[in-house]
Amino acid sequence: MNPVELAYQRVRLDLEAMLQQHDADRLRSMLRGEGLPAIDPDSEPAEQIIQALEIPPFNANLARRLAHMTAPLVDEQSQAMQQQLAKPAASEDISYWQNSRFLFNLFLLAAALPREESLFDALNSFFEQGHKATGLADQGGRAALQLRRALCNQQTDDRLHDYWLDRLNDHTAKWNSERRTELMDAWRGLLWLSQPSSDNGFDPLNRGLLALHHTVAEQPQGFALLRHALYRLEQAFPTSVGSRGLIQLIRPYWESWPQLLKETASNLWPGLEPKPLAAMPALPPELNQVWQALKQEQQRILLGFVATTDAPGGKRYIEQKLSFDLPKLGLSPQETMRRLFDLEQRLWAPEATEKPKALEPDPADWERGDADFAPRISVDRGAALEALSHALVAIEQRLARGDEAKARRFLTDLIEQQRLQPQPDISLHLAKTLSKAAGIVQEYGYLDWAEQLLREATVANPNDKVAASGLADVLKARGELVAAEAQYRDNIVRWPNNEVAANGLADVLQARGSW
Amino acid sequence: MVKSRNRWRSQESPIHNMEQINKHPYIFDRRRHSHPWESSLRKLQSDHHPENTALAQNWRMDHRVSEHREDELSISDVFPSPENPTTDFSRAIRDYFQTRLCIPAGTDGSTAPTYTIEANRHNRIAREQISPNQPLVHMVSLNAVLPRILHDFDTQDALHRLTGEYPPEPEDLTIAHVETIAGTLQARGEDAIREFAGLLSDQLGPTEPHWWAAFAFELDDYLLDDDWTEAAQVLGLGHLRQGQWLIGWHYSPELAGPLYRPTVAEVGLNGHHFPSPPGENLGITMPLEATLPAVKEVVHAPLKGDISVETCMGRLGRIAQPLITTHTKRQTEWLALRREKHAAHLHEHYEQKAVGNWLTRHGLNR
Repeated sequence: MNPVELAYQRVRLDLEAMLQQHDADRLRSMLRGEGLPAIDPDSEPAEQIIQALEIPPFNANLARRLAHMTAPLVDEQSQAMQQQLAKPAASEDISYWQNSRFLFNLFLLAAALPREESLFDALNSFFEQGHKATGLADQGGRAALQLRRALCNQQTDDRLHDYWLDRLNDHTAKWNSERRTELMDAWRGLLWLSQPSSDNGFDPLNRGLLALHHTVAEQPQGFALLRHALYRLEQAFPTSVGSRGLIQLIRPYWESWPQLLKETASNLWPGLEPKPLAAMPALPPELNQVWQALKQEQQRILLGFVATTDAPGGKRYIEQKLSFDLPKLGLSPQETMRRLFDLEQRLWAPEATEKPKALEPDPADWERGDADFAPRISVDRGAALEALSHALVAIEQRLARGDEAKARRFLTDLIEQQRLQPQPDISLHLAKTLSKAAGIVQEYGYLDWAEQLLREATVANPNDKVAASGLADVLKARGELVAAEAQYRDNIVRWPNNEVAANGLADVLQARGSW
Repeated sequence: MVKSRNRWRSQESPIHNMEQINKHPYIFDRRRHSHPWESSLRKLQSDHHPENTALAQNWRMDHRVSEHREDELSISDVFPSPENPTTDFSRAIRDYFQTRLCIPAGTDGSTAPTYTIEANRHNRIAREQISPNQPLVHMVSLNAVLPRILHDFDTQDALHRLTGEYPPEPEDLTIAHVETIAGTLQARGEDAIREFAGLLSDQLGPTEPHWWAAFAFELDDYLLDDDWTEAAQVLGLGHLRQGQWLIGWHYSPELAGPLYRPTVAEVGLNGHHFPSPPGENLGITMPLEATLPAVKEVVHAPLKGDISVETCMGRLGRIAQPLITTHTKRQTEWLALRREKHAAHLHEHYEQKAVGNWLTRHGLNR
């Protein structure tokens, strides 16, 4: 045993003693890093505690008891936040996040422990307090991010279902890497909540996937994000070779999915695509004789297996059922059996079975762009979306390299091409493209360019909420507070429930000293 | 139950061992020009016992055993070495299982089971990967485990309390005794079976081997009644026999602690194992029947104490039918052909160069 392992052994002994003595103070100080060995300067206190818990022999009871002890610590933080919020509002009063390293470690530990009802209650209570504070995620940084993950892992009931779905559904959030992380966290929140194998257990996941699709389909990296979400689904609920179990669960929903989601899924799980009955291989006379000798019901069942490319199911049916109810061919049972197996080989020869399945795509590849992803998008709309996605990625890459001139030229070409599209709703799409482009150029500091694009977007589609919101935000960022206030007020009148506009207006008023 | 069939009669006979060994001098999927294990492994592979041949082939083809893990195996003093090149390889596997895997890992500085050590870290499955709502199932044969715990007087007293009869000494235990114990436990209900699960856990103590577990979603259909034959077939438990009784656990992965992708080093002497293909993130069973699904599996530390009691299914199952059905082939041929068929199944589903090449390297891509 090396010194590091020995050090973790000592932390483990310390944890056992602490739990024995119900010493919550000790846990509090451990989470602050007090009394922990100096193993690795980059290692957080909670990581050391988790590491110590996981050294052999793993003791689930110890982990459970620790979860139980962690709950009051979260409650304390929740109460502290409540007290802070009860004070008269003062600018930059974010003291409930001042101890953010402790909070981060508290939530990090909570995320790694087995689910415990009291801990989930405490986390949820903290989370609800945080909602009352403006901009929890903005101000909370990594602690807020970790809170989201702790909430996800500790879910003992479905009270967060609507929250996860709401995050997936939010079309107004700025499209950047934080938003993409939030989407994946929200998707994981739904995944961890669901029991897809129970009756209607896939329903919440279906709702989540549809929401995610709706939110990301037309965004840069949208395809990769969808694909990654499906990949996470497969990882979270592993089923047999070929993902047969998962495919059976998904297929009834998959039929009615939007084209892009449907094709992304069938790209990952080719078994989803039913083979048309017409695709049944032509049978030579000898096998046709076997086919004709089968009962109608037997033919129907076999055709079902062919249609769904369920080779193992079809083989099992032939070998376990038809072998004992042989068709009458006037041949010996052995010869009839042989022909039956020949039929099986014919129906499910390797080329007739499922297509190859990709192994272990890089879990983080959705952040890399779509360049290496070639989905079988057969519809024009899918192709157009993909082309748009690639064009925006190309523009972003030019900006990243500092080549503003080329980025401007690419964008001008893209907009021109889109204007020429013979689609009846082209102005709606144009507005979306302009908004997305504005988001990209804004990230690279071209605020005046972003404003110009957003103004064009609002002209193309005056009802585009994202463009109108974005315009107000850019004006605010440029310091055009009067114009920003006017835009926010206009947005609030048109979309009264728009919290982003309300918050933006509050910020502008505060900055202008109107409060 | 699936009956025998002669569909494979026309296929080629199993590979010729020596020819394959000469063509494929791999250990852990790494080509070797010379290796202290080679002679001993070659002997095991050419053994007349089919499971030994399969074992040797598995040790040659399992790409998941890293060089670091191989170093750890090499210094364990049980495998052949330049000083002892003739060490019996199957005995080495057994000794490794007993002395490096089934060991008490304590907070007293003792060594941990080797699947949990740094050299095997790349086989650890990320905590964030598997949903806590995708429960695992683990099974143990009462016939295999009872002889290991009956020597203890406390166990005998506890079994007397649970079943109303004192069990025999381990060496006198027969199938009929196990039948009686299982029948009585079944009759006394879930609580008695759970209590028995706790007893098992306590008596096996810190040297209880790691658990192999599959996902309940894929096994539940085979566990609906008391006949668990098909569940055992899906899990590839070819070392068990008809008539044996099984006890099962059903639990969230979050209670199991760190999960690992299995390697041959954790298998022991079970020749019905088949390594999982490159790129697969979990283990895959080799079902004993071609028509049954090959399901995903993991290994982890055994659940102990209260958790073992709480998560026990509270039911027993019996292998009521033959696990391996072959009327037309001898056992030797059956296992080789089952492996070929399983390899073909993997190739069909992971139709990727890496998998095809891996199977080809080991003479299984035909």
